[in-house]
Amino acid sequence: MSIKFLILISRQGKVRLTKWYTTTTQKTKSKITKDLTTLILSRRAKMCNIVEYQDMKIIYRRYASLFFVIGIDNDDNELMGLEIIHRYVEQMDKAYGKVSELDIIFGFEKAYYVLDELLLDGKVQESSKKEVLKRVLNQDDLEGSEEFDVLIN
Amino acid sequence: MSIQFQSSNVLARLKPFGLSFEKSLTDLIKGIRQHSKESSESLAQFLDNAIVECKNELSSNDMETKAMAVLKLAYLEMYGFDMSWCNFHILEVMSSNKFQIKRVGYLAAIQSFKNEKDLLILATNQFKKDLNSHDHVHIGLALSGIATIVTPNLSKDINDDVLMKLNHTKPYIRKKAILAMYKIFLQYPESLRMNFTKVIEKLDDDDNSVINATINVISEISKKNPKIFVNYLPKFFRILEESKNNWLIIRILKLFSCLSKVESRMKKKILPSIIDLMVKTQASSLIYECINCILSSSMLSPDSSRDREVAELCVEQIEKFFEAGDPNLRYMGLLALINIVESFPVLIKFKGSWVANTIILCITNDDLIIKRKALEVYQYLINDDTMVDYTRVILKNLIPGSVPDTLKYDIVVKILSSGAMNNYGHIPSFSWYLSVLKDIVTLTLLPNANDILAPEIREKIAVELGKEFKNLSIRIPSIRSDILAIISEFIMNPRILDDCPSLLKDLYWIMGEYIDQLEDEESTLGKKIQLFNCLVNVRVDRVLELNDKLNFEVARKLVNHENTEILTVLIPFLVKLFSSIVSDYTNAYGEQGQLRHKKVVELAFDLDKLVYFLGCFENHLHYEIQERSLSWLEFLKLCFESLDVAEEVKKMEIEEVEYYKNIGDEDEDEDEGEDDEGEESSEEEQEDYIELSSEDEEPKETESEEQVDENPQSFAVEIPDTLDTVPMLLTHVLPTFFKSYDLPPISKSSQKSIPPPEFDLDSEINSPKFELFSDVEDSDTEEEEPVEVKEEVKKEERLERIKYDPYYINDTTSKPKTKKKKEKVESTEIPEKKVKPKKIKKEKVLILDVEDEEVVTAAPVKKKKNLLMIDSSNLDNFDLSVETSTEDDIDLSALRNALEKEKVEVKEKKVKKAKKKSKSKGKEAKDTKQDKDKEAKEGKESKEKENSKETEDKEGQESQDSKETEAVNSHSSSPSPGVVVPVKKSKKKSRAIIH
Repeated sequence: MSIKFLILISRQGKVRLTKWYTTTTQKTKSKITKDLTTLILSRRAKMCNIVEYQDMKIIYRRYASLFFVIGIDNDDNELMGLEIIHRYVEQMDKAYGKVSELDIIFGFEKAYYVLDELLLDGKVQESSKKEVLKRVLNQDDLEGSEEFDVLIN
Repeated sequence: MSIQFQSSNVLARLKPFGLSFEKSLTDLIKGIRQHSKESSESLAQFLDNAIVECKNELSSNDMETKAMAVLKLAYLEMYGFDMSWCNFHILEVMSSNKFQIKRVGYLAAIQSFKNEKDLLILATNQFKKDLNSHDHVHIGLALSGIATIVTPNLSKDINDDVLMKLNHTKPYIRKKAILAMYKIFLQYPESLRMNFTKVIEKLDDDDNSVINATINVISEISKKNPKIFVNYLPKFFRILEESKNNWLIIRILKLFSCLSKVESRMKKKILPSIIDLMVKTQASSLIYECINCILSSSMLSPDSSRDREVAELCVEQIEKFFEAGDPNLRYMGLLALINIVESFPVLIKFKGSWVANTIILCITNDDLIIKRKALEVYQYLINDDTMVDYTRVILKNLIPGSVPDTLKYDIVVKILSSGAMNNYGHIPSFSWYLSVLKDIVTLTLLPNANDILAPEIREKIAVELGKEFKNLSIRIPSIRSDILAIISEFIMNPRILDDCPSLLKDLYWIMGEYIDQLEDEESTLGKKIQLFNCLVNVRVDRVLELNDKLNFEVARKLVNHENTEILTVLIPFLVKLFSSIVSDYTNAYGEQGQLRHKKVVELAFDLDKLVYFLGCFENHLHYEIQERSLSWLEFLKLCFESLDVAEEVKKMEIEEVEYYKNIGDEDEDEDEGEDDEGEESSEEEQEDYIELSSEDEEPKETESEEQVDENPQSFAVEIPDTLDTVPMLLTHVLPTFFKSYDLPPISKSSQKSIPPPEFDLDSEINSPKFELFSDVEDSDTEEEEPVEVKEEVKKEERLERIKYDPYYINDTTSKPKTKKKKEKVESTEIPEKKVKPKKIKKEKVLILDVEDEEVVTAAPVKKKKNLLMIDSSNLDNFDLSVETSTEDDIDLSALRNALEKEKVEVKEKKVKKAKKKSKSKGKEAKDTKQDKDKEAKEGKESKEKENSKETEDKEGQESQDSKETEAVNSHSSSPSPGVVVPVKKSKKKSRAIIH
């Protein structure tokens, strides 16, 4: 299971977050993003969330106004892909506390941190829900305590 | 405690730099949102300003300001702004001791770092430093960074440090380390060779997520190279049995399907437990993966009844997917069904053909993804019973506006290929099939103007349909007349000429080839003349100087048509058509081989039109068209002269122009009322004229009266009613151009067995032999039968001669088939399913397979490697059995040796040169052989001496040499070419130096 990229697209077609796990030129990146935006926004709710694109499968899932889009290999398990997206959203939900699109826009680095704990170079590194969250919070605490130290000293 | 602070706003306020930090980024984001509402220019302006601002902030000494700038740039990177220019600043931010800043640095580095040499040298040190930090959070950051950024050089340098982390006390680090190792393996395969056991050890880790990560790595590697893991199958199997984590199980199943490619015996052991898993689990992803594993590792053979039961069990599981009503599950279920159907086509009818019905339902689904997928297995659904119904189902998709154009092409191809299946074996009746083809043409190529398909799709569909018509007409003689009837409509339709001319290329050919089999209810000859006029009669409209509402739109369009391909086919077709008209005339009105003078004039008139039409291409830019038209023109003009009725033809021409002028005038009067009928009215005119000309062929008396009515002077007065002999050129020579040989269908394989003609460009073309041959042909054309009756010797000679002539297909292969076919035609009096000899079809299939294989083998060569891309291609052909070797060391030592030897060499050369000089001097002085021999011996001796000196001088070096050769030997046995090549080179180098 290897994820090639993750893109968050808003319902208006705006990119909210991108993460590329393969080295891709800026040109192809924007082409893929553009293609997928039109492709996915044009699909209706009752259609399936798996799309074939180039030589990979695109899995997307809509949460409120945001589409979470990932690209996986053709022979990977699509349902796992859906599950990974769901996991990511769940964990962001907990990390931000009721996550919304605005949260991700303004606190995008946190979205990256959560993602980095869930996936390492496109591979799922942690399937336990608690563990990922724990790590992110731990690191956030570390930031906080560092600053606290600064204040005290 | 800290969590409390975290959540409270108090802390945010307390943060001395955090406040400004967040504010600055928020401002940026808010600014972007604000400006994007206004206009794209103001947004671009704002973003440019923001980047300049970031640049300024980067040059500040304050680390926090820098970090903030980097973060902002990382945000802008999402909008497509390149941030690699600030990579060194990112590196600086990474090196901060503050976790918060370091974290930002790594975040940006992962987004932005690529393969920059200078940068990565510095980055390597930073990674090493962080990897060896006492704080595990720092280590984790570094590992994440490495996994994304790793390059070949970096992976070599960092290998050992990451390796150590595999035994870190915290599982958090261990799992990250093993995943990072995978990326190192990809870039530096030697590392996998050396550390293979360490990877396997991690399967016994105490922590589940570490095992999970390890299996992940192993299954990724096994995609490329399953062999090396075969020995650990029992271990994987144990994990599978013990684990309850579906993520892990799915990954092991993936691993199994990779391993099964190299180890076929595993089926027996794992199949039962996979089935067990499948039946017990609730998770659809796992069910799917089980089915996938069973099928992709080809554990089931279609012959075994037990395996069939397993397949049926799988289908039952899939049924649940469809029952759930979830679109994703439907898609997955369809994937699995397709998988099953491909290996068990029999199961199509399983459960009262539930499978077939499901697939058809998916084809009718609105979701294009599902529709497209389901179409892939459409051909499996086809049999004698379902053909008509299912074709109707997918034909509906061609109705304008239902699906995108590209899919329409796929559907057309599906219909055609399913029709041709089993040598057209499933088609219940060909008239039905032809009506389907006709529907396809009207739906895809001739829809209303606003539903018209994209030009390239139209083109592709037209080519496919053309091929299909051609195939049918060649292979199924009984329906040729039906095909011709349909085709003649298309040929006379000016829209086809505009929208999809490629279709006509094949249609013209068919029409020309089988024109004699054209049938028409009213009058076959009339139909032919109608066709002929429609295509050829450009003169009338030109003389009348019409530019719209043409009488012969198609002809005018053809003259100016850009598609050279169809024009090249058109020219011979027209001649064939004319030839057929001539023979119909002689058959219908011939009286003892002669024709009434009036009929001869009509023929000549047609011929004149053809000459005029071909004359339009005399100066065509395309060579082939020019050549063809010119060569026919010469012949046709000759025919025209031989008819010797030029004057009467001139008169007919004037009459015709007059006639159309009148019609045009009448029409204009009518048209004042109804303007929009332009096209139709011109067609009507055509029909009028056709009626007129078709009446010509009916018994003479009645029709001549009519003619008198219309054109009182011309026919009645001037044309005498005598019998004329039609020249041989028209009656005999012309047909022999086309009818000397029958064209049987030849399968691809037998076509391939025809040896390619060997062109001998050096020898004289006009050799005496060739003249002889043309003599024979001449006699052949004039009196066909006598020649054939004559001795077979001549025939054989001729065969021998044309054997290497590129313009002849080898007779020996085609002859027997011709006979067979003729027999068929005679014997089978149109059975509903006319089928060609099965042999041919089977051969065809075989060839396709062969071609496929070729494609597969050729593909990897074509695949270009992206230098930037980190992929697993390094692990291709990777072999563990090769002893760990250190390429670089060998190279280095070889270089060192070489250098040292070179020093020696320089010295030796001087000595040698001196000796050579003496040698050459000796040669000049002494001529006798003996002396030469002596000299040679001396030379040898001296060389030996040199060698011994060398060995004495450099004992240590030699021992090094021998070591090196040992290394070389051990390598040359290894199958990995990547390793062998450089070593061999160094060997060669050293040899060259020694001698």
